[in-house]
Amino acid sequence: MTMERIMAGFMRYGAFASIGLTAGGSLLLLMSDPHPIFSVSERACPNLCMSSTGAILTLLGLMMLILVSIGRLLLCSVLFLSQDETHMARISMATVLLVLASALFRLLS
Amino acid sequence: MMGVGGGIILVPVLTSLLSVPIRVAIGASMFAVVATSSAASAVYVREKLTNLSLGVLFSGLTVLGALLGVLAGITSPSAVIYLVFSFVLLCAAWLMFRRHKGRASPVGSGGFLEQSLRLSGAFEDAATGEIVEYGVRRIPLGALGMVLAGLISGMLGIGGGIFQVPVMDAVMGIPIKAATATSNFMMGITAATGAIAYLVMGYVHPEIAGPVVVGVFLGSGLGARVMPHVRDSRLRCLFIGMLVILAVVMARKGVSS
Repeated sequence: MTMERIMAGFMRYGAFASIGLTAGGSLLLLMSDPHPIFSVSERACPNLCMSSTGAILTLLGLMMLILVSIGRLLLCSVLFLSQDETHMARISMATVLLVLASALFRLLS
Repeated sequence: MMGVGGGIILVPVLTSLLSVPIRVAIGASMFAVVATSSAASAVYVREKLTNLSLGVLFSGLTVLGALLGVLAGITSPSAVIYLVFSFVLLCAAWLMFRRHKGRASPVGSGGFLEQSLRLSGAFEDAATGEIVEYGVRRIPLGALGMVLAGLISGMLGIGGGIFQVPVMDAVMGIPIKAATATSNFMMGITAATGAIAYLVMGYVHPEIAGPVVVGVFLGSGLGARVMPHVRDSRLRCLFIGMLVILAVVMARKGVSS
């Protein structure tokens, strides 16, 4: 199996898994009516559980999408290293660091 | 269906029809672009249409542009974002109307940079069965175009393919199929940069981003199936008209806010 096929499989199935997780979480979020959460009723607890589980699953799915994107760059570095293109592998790793640097925007908020 | 990531339609629709705050809409759109890019790139990489060397090299530049774009997006007033978005929509409509098709440049036309970074590529054209070999010319100019595309992508939450593909095709002489595939590969990485930034800043709301991502992902799959059965010229006219209408809507929102 070539490296391109491994990368294609990783992106394809990674995207499907992430979308599956996001869809499941979104469904839970849509099924739970968030408005009665703050009212004192019997439905408050189940709704809260359902909506928070939904939110967590959705966020996990979304974060998995980011990992799939970063993963393709890591696979690219492996591919370039296997072809003795070390400079391209370095560029690929530097790009990963740049992508991760966007998390530093937290410091601005 | 039209070869654009979806963000260019998604953000105006979310803000205009559903009254979603623009930064929340941008956050959701970034994830939608990542999702569609991953699925489409898988096909292009497997078929060896993507120029991985060029994709990785230019991803670094679009990511750099996206970081600047996110910074501009979160520090600018909403009115400015609406007006810039309106301008970008008009540019996209013009680019789609013009649809310049460049000629593939021969291998070696990019000189030292092309040879040292091994940027030239080749793919088998499924329509003709021929092996298409191409070089990459005007690399510094193309690199500047990629930084600008990344900046727009990071600021507005769009994929940036609408600008990347014409730059690669008309300026750098990369055949349109390879340009589209390579742009798709880069789009997901660029959008992931913005997505992380918007996520950590709290602009990604699961109840909005989740359904949007799933909807856009399913819609893009459906679009790819429908596309071969629809006349290209009619579809293009419809899309250009929609872009112009959305540009007017966004400009009005920008002026009124």
